[in-house]
Amino acid sequence: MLNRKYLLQRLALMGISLFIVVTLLFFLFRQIPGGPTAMMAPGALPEDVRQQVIEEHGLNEPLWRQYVLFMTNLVQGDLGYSFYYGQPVSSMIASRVVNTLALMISAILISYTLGIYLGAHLGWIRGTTLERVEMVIVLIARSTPVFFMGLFLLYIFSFQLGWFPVGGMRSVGASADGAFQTFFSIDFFHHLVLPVVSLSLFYTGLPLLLMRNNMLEVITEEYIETAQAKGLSRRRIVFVHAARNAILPVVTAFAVAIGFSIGGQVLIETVFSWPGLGREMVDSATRNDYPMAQGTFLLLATLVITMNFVADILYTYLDPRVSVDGESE
Amino acid sequence: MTESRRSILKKMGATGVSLGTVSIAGCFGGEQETEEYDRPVEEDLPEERRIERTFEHMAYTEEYSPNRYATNELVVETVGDVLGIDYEMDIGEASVLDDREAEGDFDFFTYTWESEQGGDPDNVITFRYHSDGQRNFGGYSNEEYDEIAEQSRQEYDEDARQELIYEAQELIGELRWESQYLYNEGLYGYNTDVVDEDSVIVDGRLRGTWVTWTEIEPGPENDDGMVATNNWDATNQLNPFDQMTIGPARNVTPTLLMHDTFIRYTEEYEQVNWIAEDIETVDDTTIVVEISDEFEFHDGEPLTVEDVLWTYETILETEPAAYLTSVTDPLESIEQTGDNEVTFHLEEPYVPFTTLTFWQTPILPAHYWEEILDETDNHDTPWEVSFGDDRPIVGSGPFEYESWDQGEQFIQTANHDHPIAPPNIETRVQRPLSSSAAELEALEQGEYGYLDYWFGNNEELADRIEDEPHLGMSAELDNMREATWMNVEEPPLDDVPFRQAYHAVVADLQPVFVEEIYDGYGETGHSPITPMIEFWHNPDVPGFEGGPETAIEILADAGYVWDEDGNLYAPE
Amino acid sequence: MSDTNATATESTTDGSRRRQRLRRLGETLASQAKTVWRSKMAVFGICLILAFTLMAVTAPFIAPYEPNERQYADDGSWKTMESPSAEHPLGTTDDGYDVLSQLIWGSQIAMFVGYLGAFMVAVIGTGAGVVAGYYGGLVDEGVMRFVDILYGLPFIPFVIVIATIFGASVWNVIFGIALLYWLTTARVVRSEVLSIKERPYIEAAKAAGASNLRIMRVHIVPNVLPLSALYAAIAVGYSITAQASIAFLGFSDPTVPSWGVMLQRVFNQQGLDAWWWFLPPGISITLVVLGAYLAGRGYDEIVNPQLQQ
Repeated sequence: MLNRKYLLQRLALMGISLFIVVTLLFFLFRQIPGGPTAMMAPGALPEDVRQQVIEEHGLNEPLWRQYVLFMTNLVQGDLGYSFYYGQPVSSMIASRVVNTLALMISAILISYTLGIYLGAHLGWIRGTTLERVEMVIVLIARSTPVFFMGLFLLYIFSFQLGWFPVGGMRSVGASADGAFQTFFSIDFFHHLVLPVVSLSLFYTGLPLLLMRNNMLEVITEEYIETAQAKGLSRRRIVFVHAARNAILPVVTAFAVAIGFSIGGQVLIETVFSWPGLGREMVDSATRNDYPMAQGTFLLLATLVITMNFVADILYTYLDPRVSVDGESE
Repeated sequence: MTESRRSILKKMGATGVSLGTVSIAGCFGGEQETEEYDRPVEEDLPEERRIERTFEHMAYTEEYSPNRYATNELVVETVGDVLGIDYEMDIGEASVLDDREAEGDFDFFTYTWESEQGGDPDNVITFRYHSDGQRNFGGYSNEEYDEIAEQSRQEYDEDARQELIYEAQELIGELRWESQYLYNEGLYGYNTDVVDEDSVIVDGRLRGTWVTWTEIEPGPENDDGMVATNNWDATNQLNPFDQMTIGPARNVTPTLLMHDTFIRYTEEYEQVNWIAEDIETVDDTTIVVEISDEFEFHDGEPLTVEDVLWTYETILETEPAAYLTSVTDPLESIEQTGDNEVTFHLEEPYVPFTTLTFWQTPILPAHYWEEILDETDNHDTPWEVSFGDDRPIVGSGPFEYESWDQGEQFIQTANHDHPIAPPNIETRVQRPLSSSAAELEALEQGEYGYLDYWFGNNEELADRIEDEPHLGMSAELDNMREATWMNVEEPPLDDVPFRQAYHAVVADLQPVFVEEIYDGYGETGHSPITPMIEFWHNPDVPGFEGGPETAIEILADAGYVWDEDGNLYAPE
Repeated sequence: MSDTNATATESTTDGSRRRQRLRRLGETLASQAKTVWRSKMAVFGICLILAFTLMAVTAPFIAPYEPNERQYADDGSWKTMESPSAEHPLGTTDDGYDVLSQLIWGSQIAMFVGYLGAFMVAVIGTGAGVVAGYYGGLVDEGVMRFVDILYGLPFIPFVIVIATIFGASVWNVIFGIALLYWLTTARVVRSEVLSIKERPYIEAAKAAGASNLRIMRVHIVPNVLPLSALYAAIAVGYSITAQASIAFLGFSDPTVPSWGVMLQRVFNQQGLDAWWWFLPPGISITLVVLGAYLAGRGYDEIVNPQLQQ
């Protein structure tokens, strides 16, 4: 049973983390060239409108007042107005989040399923030449920068072979009426394949290596002998019993992985013109659309912090024995 | 700000880890060898004459247009070298730099802009270069010029006006407010499996002025009649009062397609009446327009004199930046003078009113807008309303607003009831992709019907189109020129010889731009009005031929000198 | 007065002990080197990294041209998009630059960021981990909560934000690495220190009145060094990938030749067809990162003996 006090403590910590990240971001964005007014009132506005925006956002007030206003607005879900789109940041971001999660979750699920299986497999064939070959392949896949992999796959399978679309999330003109039609259609899956494969090739290494290392720890000769004494086959011992023990830390790493995967997500969305949060962040950063960049970043950070919280909670259940490749990313 | 950052970086570099011969950022890649120029060199020049500041050259990102990036890179490198000044690229995204330009926060700025709008060169002559011009962001001011420009707006005799426009071009050439890189050829690729090849409009002038025909004429070859095109974003603004909607091509295309104006241009580039049934210029300051009663807004309401009055009066009252020069300045009042008739009273004669103004001003549905302005409390600031799926644009144009997934696609459906220009296709989609490589593939695979614009590698596009029988392309000189605009408010840019010397260096590079960077798709020249606009183009604008030598000569004659290290010093 | 004396005596004995310690450390290092050497993978990895390091250091001598030196044909036109030839072994770019030269010059920034990143990961991560683990209590709590908070900043988006605010430059990535890449090292080092701390000789040193600083320096840091080195090795790879990724997204200084900028140009200028321009920078990054991994894995076997076969 989970300790309630511990849970509350962790929750509080998550709150504090969020608070500090938001605060950090507030002060960082006040450093932009042109001062805080450039943040909310772009130069091309007529002077009177500009003044009005400045007043509305309290930009002529002392810094601490601006900060309080910013925090108050944030709590109410008000992230300001996008310069570029001229619409509330929150409404612009909402649709992007779903698109990003659709891609991210697909990739992570695939890479974890695959990684756990292959990791157990590598643990099973340890010491063989095949294991070495597979390890090298895994390491190469993990060493290839994810955007290079994306470009490569795009070039081969879309540009050259024409098997998959050149980018985007659905076909031209496709307008689905609901989320279900958008995300559960052949058309969507067709667009999903290349970005997901690019991401998965990169992500799989982590659970795979973790799983393999855990397997090596679990499967001692003693362990196998005991199991064999119970009349179990070697294969069954490895894939069912040992794997069950080895899998736990991998599951914990899953939550952390979601946080780490965001960098890859940003790159792949750019390569495949995916209308997600990552690409929006890149675009708004190049456009100096500060409120939008700030909003997208806040959301990504929130996602990471929440996932770290989940991981922490899982840690209390499971023995965290995370190896090198498993953690540093 | 930058200064302090730089010094911090220097310190970081000094105290940071040094790895053998690996140098710190900025020094990576070694030095370019500089050529020797025959420049007048003096010793012991006073420090205060030294032109020490770093000049910033604003240009769009390489991602936006690799070709433009390459031309600017070459200019900055060469000009800095020849003139002996510290000259850097300052790269940014379009919307960022446009803001900075409007604030006058630049030394040099390069982009591509059209030579005329709505069939009239007034956007060059007045908008940009009259000292009160709407797009005069560089501090251009010259009394003689202002006078010529004003006269040209009031001269109803075409030949006399041509004479004035010629004079204005010559003066601009002499004063060198802008330095032309090249006249661009627009490359338009299309996929003949999607659009009917015979229906594709190839006239570069039409593309440049975004005339409806190029979008409605293409007949579909596919079954669903859906034609998609690239556009670097599915636009960011649809509000026709917003300056950004009327300015950049990405926004004005959908806006012009969803709305109607008094006049448009035909495939042969001749002015035709559109909403206006008859335009009568009673005298220099009175224009009477008969309105057609066949137009209907997309919500079923008829377009009437009321809507015309509302549109023009709202512009007059609220003065949106987008219409400052073409409507607000010349127009004194508008009144209804018949069932279907309005009369415009101008403050003073303004020749482009029946061309530019009537072409540019969309007639908006008064009933729909009043409701929105009430709702959003924007009666004084109509340009602040934003449009989207929950508040679609309603116009009367050949295309209707369908849906807009920002960053993904913008969909318009055909208005087959349009009295003049019912489109041949069913659906028009604007959809951005993140690289021109992907765009080219999308064209080949039939995802795009045609490429609205092409900023990628010209040779690559041409080769691909030659290789693939189902692709076609037109390449014609359009009305655009790529040029550098200078901010002439600060020394030494306020000095005419300095700017002339600048152009002498650039003019020498023009063949390289055309042949190497644009792969032969373009022409060289020195006037702000491209030769495509035959009637107005003055071919004899001073171009300061002779390259670096001429540049050095001009500067030396004006009293500039150099020290032994090749640094430029201002005249005494 | 007595203070000075105490230090003096200590330093005399310190001298001989230091020699002894150095010898011990040397022995450990030698045996570790042997282990690493036994692993062919690790040797291969180290060779890869050394090869690229050599390329970076000798770039001014081995690169045939400057990275942005226009290549002209005999008729004065630019040599654009030329496939490999004897004169240009990796062909030319769309701007008429020599790909091989760009690749060689690009290794400078890659290796610079790689080593600097590794160095920072090792120093900051080890420092924070040792301090937190050794002192425990509030210090530990403070450092680790700080680490937790920094974990909330996703790396690439954070560097993008920094670049948006302070302008594109190589230093954004380095700043990001210094701020965010040492976190895992700190965590791992800390837990290692927690177990080392319980060992008898630490107790003995404490009882003998050794200062905290001294205990950390003499007894703890040498014991966690292999671990730090392992993370540093892997950080070489991460840092290089991070730099390339940021450059690819357009948030690095485009005038500094780098592999990421090369790939960005390939992508933007329809160069994917030009395999001679597209593949080399990507493969180079992959190889260095692979080298770092392999070297790290060889080291891993020292740290986690159960992984040895």
